[in-house]
Amino acid sequence: MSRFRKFTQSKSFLLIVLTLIILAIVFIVEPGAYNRGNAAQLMATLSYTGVMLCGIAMLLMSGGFDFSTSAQASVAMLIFAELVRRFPSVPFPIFMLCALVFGVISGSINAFFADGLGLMPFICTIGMSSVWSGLAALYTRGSTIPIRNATFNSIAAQYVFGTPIPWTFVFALVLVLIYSGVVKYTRFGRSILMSGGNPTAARLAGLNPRKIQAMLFINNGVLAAVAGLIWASQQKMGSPTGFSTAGADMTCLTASILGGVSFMGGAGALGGAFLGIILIQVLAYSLQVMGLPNWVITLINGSLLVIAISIDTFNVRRRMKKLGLKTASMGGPRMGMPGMR
Amino acid sequence: MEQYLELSGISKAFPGVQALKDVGFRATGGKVLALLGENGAGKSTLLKILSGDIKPDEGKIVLNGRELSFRSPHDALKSGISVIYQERQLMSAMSVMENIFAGDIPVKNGIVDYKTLKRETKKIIDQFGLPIDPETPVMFLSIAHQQMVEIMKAYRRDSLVIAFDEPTAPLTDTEIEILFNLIRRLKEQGKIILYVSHRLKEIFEVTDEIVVLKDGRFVTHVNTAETNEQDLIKYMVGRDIGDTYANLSRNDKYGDVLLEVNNLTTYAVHDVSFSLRKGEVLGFAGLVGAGRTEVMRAIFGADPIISGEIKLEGKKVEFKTPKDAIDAGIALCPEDRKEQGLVLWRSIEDNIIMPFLDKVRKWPFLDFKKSERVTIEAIKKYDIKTPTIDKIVVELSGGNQQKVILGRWTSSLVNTKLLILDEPTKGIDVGTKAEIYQMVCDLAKEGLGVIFISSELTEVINVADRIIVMKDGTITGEVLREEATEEKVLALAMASN
Ligand SMILES: Nc1ncnc2c1ncn2[C@@H]1O[C@H](COP(=O)(O)OP(=O)(O)OP(=O)(O)O)[C@@H](O)[C@H]1O
Ligand SMILES: [Mg+2]
Repeated sequence: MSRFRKFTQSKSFLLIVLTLIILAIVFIVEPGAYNRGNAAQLMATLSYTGVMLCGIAMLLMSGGFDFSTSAQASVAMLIFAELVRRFPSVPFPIFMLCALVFGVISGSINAFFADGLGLMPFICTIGMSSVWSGLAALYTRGSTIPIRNATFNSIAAQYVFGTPIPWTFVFALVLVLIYSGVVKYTRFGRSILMSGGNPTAARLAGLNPRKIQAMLFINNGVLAAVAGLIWASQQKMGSPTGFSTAGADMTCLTASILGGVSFMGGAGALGGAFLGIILIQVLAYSLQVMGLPNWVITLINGSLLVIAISIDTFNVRRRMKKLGLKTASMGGPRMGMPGMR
Repeated sequence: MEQYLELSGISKAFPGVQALKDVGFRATGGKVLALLGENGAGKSTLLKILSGDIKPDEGKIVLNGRELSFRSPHDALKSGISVIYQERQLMSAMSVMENIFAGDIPVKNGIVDYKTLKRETKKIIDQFGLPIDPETPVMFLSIAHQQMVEIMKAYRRDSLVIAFDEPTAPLTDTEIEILFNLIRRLKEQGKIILYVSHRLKEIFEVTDEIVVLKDGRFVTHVNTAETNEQDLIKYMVGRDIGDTYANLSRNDKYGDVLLEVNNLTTYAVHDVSFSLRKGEVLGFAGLVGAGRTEVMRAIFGADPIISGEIKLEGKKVEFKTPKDAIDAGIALCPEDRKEQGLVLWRSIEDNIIMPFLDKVRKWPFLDFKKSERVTIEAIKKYDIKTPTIDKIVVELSGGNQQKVILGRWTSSLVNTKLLILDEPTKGIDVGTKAEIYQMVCDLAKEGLGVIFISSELTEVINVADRIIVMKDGTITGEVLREEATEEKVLALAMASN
């Protein structure tokens, strides 16, 4: 099969085509919808979700997931916003560093539960999500913290030479490229895929699935913090709920699965996942500019997630069948901890 | 009227492989027909076509004059065909009785009739004479018993055609005896039985006719009584391989002591001591569950050690993880290829280089050229049947999957001092078995210490220089090859202490 034929049959191709179709429809129905402002805003959203995606997709490949990603992002930016408010004279990059350090800590906590104690990543990160959101709400009493540092606020407003493309989007894109390079071309990437695919076999082959996943939890915490900072710079504030209501981590999950990162761990396609995110955001934006209310968008987002997971589960079943395993014995996707059995 | 199953012109292609090409033969009731062929010859594919799991590209299946076509495995079952797959199909969290009656659970007034279910299951289990409780979840049974549940499931359906795909691979002698008695009984009832196995001894013991496949094509159909091992091997392999064991060129010069295990105790083994010299092939015999695998896992750092010590080249070692052991020059080729050996939905290449990612890199990237070279080496060495190196392992035939693991641990990337092979020939065809034995001897000549675990007595007493026998987690004896007989080893394996 030629390279081109192969590409036309890939998930990425499908995602690109779908995105173009949506764009075309919007263009026909509402020719004036796509103006500079909208495009810039779309890419602003893609900036922080793209960053978050890198963390989430990598974790999925290792067989884990972090439900507390959005909450971590919120707390990280609140920490930043609060520090900037209290100490306006201290250079703000120091506080950005503090936010990242928080990401390391929160990621390590997840890693400790999931990989140290061997709990189900699913469950303990749901717990941590509540903990972080709760703390954020408690501290801020539910209100936002405005950021009055002009330099910081202008970061997200820097555009690439007169185009509507913000530099933050370029940053996200580069990050996606780097991570997908890591997955494809490095030893570490290969270890992630192998230990996500079969932790027991990976351990017997000298890999350390738990350590690998722990690193990815920390990586996810840090990237969540970065995403939080980008959001804060765009919105000029820190918010305890901004991320959770946008459901950014769920969007990333949907996109990853759409793009071919399997729920079962062990499959990697970061580029596809990024295309998935573009599709989801384009869809959401198109609906918004066409004047549909927000709940319709939420509805469609949710449906997409269910569809994506159904497709993935269906694929998993097919694989299980190939292995000669009955699917009834599975009891849902395997999200347990590597190296336990 | 004589019952018969006739296949004709069956072809099936997978991307890059012609798994079956124009295969046809006739199996008659009251006879056991063996399907024989090298790894990847297409035996399992043929059975999957019979079970309705795979659709053939071409071909006809006729049962007693009626042409059958299946849309699903369900159709095949309804037509009276049961296939016991090479890979177990049980719902592992469900009880034995639910598995045996899957699809036909007795119901009374709309709810499951557990009493009848249990009674009927008990009946079947008693007929088999096995110590299995109908209510245990299948996952708590030994692999051998799981396999027997699978067989009981097919037996319960009372199908006219019953096909077994390497049924004895996970069984111990006790269950094999039970299985053979069952097969003889089914034969008397006039059933049509298909039987796939790589163990020629079994073929001669239990089958009446033999169909040989090679590279997806029909080779011959002979009566078991009118043929012999040498001929069969010639049909399968296409050449004469001679007497496997007599032709082995062995190592006879031992070096220093390589491995010394003193009073090793873990959760599964008790007070195990032995030693191994460089250049020696040490066999481990015993019944399934005797604790051989557990000893190796402890040496390899995969299981915690409660007490005892391990010395490698005279130095005491304590491996916390398999990685430590690998770094020290130990390789363990595990017995359960699916659970412990392979990452099934990744490529052959990924699976082979998995333990050596460090050695196939050009900082900071993987060295794709080198990894491809190493993979191709392994594919050539073991004659792994695959169109490309990036075929995912799950699509290989059972025996070829096993070869991937062997290829990994004997690749030129490893700097192995001690090679532990746990049931390395499970599901491997005769020709390749001979090559594996020779490879073991060659490695010994190079000065490696090799531990060779096998539940096939003939194999272990003929390949190993010295055989340690285990039972219930302890060593019950040791014999040298020159004095080893199957009776002697078996007596030790079953010794009551
Ligand atoms: N699902 C699949 N996709 C692609 N190729 C397949 C698939 N199943 C089997 N094959 C290929 O078909 C060929 C025949 O495989 P099959 O499993 O029938 O062999 P077999 O005779 O049972 O071998 P073994 O003795 O090793 O079990 C092999 O080359 C295998 O790689
Ligand atoms: Mg087979």
